[in-house]
Amino acid sequence: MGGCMKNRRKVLGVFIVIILLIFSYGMIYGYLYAHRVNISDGINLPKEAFVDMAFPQYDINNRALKSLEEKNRYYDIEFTRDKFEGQLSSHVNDKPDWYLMIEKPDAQFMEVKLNGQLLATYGEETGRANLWNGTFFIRFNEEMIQENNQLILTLKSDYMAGVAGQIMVLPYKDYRILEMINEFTQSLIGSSIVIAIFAGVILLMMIIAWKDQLYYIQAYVFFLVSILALSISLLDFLEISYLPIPYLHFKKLIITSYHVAISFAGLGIAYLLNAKYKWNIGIVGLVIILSQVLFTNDMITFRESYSKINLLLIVATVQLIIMLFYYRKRASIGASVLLIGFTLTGVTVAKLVLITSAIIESSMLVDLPILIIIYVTIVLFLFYLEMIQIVADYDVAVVDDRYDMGITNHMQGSFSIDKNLYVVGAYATACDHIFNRHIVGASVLDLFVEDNTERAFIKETLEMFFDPTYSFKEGFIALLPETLNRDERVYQINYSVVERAETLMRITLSDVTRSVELEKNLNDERKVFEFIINALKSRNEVGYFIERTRIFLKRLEAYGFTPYHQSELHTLKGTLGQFGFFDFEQAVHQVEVSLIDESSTPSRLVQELNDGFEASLNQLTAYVGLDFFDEGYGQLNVSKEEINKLEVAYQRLFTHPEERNAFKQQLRELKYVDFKEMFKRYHDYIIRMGHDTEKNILPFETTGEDIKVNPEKAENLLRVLVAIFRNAVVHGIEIPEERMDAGKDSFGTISCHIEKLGEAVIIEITDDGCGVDIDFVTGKAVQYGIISTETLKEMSPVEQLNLIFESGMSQLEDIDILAGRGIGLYSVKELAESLGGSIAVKTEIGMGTTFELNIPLISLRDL
Amino acid sequence: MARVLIVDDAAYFRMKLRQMLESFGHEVVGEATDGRKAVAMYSQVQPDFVTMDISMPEANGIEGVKGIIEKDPNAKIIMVSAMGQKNHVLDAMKSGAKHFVLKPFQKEVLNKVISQVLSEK
Repeated sequence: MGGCMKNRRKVLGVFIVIILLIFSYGMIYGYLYAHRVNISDGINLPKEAFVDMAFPQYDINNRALKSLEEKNRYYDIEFTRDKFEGQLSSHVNDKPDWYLMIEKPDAQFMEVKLNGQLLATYGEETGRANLWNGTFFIRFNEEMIQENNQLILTLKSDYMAGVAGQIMVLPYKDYRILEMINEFTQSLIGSSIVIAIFAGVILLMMIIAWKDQLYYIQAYVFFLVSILALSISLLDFLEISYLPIPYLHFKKLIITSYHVAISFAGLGIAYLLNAKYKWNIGIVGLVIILSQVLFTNDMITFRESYSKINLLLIVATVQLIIMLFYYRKRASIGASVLLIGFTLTGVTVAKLVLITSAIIESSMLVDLPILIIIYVTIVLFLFYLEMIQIVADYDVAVVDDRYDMGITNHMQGSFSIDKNLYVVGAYATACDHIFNRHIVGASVLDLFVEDNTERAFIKETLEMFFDPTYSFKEGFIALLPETLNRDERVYQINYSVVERAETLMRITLSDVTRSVELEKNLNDERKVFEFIINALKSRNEVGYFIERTRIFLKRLEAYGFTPYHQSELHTLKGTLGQFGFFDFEQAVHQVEVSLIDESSTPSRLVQELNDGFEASLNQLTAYVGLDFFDEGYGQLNVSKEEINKLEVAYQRLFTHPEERNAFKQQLRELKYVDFKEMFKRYHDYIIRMGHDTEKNILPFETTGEDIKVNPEKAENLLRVLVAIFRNAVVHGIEIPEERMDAGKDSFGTISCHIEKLGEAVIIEITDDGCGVDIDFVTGKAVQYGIISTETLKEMSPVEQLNLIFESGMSQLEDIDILAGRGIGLYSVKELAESLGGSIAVKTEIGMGTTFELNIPLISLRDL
Repeated sequence: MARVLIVDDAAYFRMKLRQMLESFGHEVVGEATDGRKAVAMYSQVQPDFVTMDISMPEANGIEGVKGIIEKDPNAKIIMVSAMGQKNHVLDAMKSGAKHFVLKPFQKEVLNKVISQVLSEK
């Protein structure tokens, strides 16, 4: 797309170069003509004797002619040999050839005879073409010159103006120069036609290629019509008309084309600029000329009317320049400079058409509008190209491409507005998607604003933005809306100043729907985080106020909203609000409003307060739990350092929002405890139970790594582990006598070790007791009907040992207070598996038993 | 560098603004608390430019701008207004202030406006 943009600039560049070449071509030849052409050796022949063949007495000037005879006239020119003043057969002429030049004969047919001898004929007698722009050179041998000579020049024309230029006899060297100029003129006009057609083709291709992007497609169609009309009107300048139609019709077509060319160019530019008034005076001229075309049937009348109506073209041109000045001040300066340049070129061309003639003055008035049309159209076309690249930039297009290709669904697009607040120039097609319409030519107010007061404000702000009185444009940008909501999506709006041919404002829309949601969540979350940190910092006060609020709300329920309670409520609102109980604060605010207009019942209001309070408390419990704020909950002491660390992490969230999950975890970990600590409850338990069962057991400590876990999550596991410890005491450790008989220390040892293995925690509980008697276990299993004897035989020793984890197993025959409540090892296994872990047992008769639990760490923490 | 007159009814804001302006190297030659006092003080201290709050008790910023412009049509006034008073900003601009910044603003923005004000003759 960027390359495309550069190509457009290249096209513009080539165009300018071509125009400049033509211009300089014209200037050089104009110079040559003025300084180098010396046709003093030529012999000027008089044109007085212009005789009507049928009615020699008639006045010849510009008379409408009816009959065919009337249309024939001839020049009868007599000259003597003396005129040549010795130039014949002299050094002046390299060759014995002489040239008769007839400049711009106004005719459709011409016949030239010298001394009765036919030299040449041009055009056709039945006459459809005009020879008006032709300058004809007829070669003859100097031997034809006699003492007295007669030149008969017969012309046939619809109206008689005769030969517009001069009739001359030229020596070869003069002929060469004039012939060259004549050819140049014709090639210049030819190339102008080619340029006009070339421009028309470019426009047509633009219309075809961008038909979906052109909001005012009329503008481009008008330009197309204009430039094609221009190429038709240029045919008038060619030596011979190529159109096979009678001269009057030809002239009607040409004149109509002039008017179409300029009035349609005016329409096109008006649409492109979104001008308030799109009509131009050229259209009036066009209407008048069309009526003339329809109702005039003779050349003279038509010619007289169009030479006056053509003045309207000049007025229309002035109108266009004024319009351009009004809407595009800076561009119009450039355009006016070009216009003046091209008009000068036009004058040069006009001179060249009449190569030797002295009638430039008289024909200028007629031809000037035509020249202006040519150049105005070209200038406008240039301006149009300038418009295309006026605001289009590489970045506008890239996102479009990515969007169209499905690479991103992040819609982003830019467009630009001019000082009339209309969208101008190229813009990202994403904008069409966003607004669901073609936006070129649309008013930005219609695109953005629905609210009327807002509209007036934005309009005023934008107008001041474009007002050159105010230089600090960024200030106004700050006043404009930052976001746009459309079709349930949120777009961020960025504004910037674009200084091109005009001051424009570029507006970029980016779809930020997702980030806005994220931002909002993040902000809500941040509030909660801040609340928690504040609450933790002043734990005791918060705990006190939570309690006090609870009591207050109960009293409120009982006593209602007495003035005293209202004032108390207001104080609580302030205090708790300070700590960050936003929901409660808001609930109180609502209630206070309701109390004024007495719109709700007191019980309902108390309910609202309770809800608000609970909502605030829930935010606390979601992360840290209320235990923190209960005085004397020793385990959950949060150190100052920890809170400081939290605060630092919280501050970082503003610049590193991606860390917020880590932060949440950090918050939650506040209430985490060392897993080992949780086992402490069993230290005393073992001693006590050993005492009850008359066993000596050494005090034990849980050993191993520090592993932080969420106590709430680990609690269940810890609770069921009682079965293992109980089994170790009741069934594992022998009574002191047995131990001594077996040669062991009379004090039994129970140990507990915790370690992290990858993402799991290994809990190993070992006793050095008697071990598990497999035969005893299997016997019980059969006895309780857990397995059949047949199955038992097929089981491996490990499988048989694992029967201790089966539901309903109990090793002690007497159901006593310590064991055998039917929830034994089975519940440990079940819980371990429900946490995604496992349990295994190893035992050796007389040596002891080891239970090994493998529990995923994550199940003891927060996800 | 430049001599400034600060007009704002909030003492805290005047202090902040003074600090900022002084950090840019400007000299605060006067402080006024409403539009009328600002007009009186303007002729007294002849500052290079004025920072003018919009909503002030007694005479607001727009009256202040009008009064100052009446005395000195070339006075350079930067309106300083809260986002909520957007509508008044444009009124102030129409009364003759040429620049404005919105509260809360960043130091750089203020500095940029000031350089622009001072560069205009």
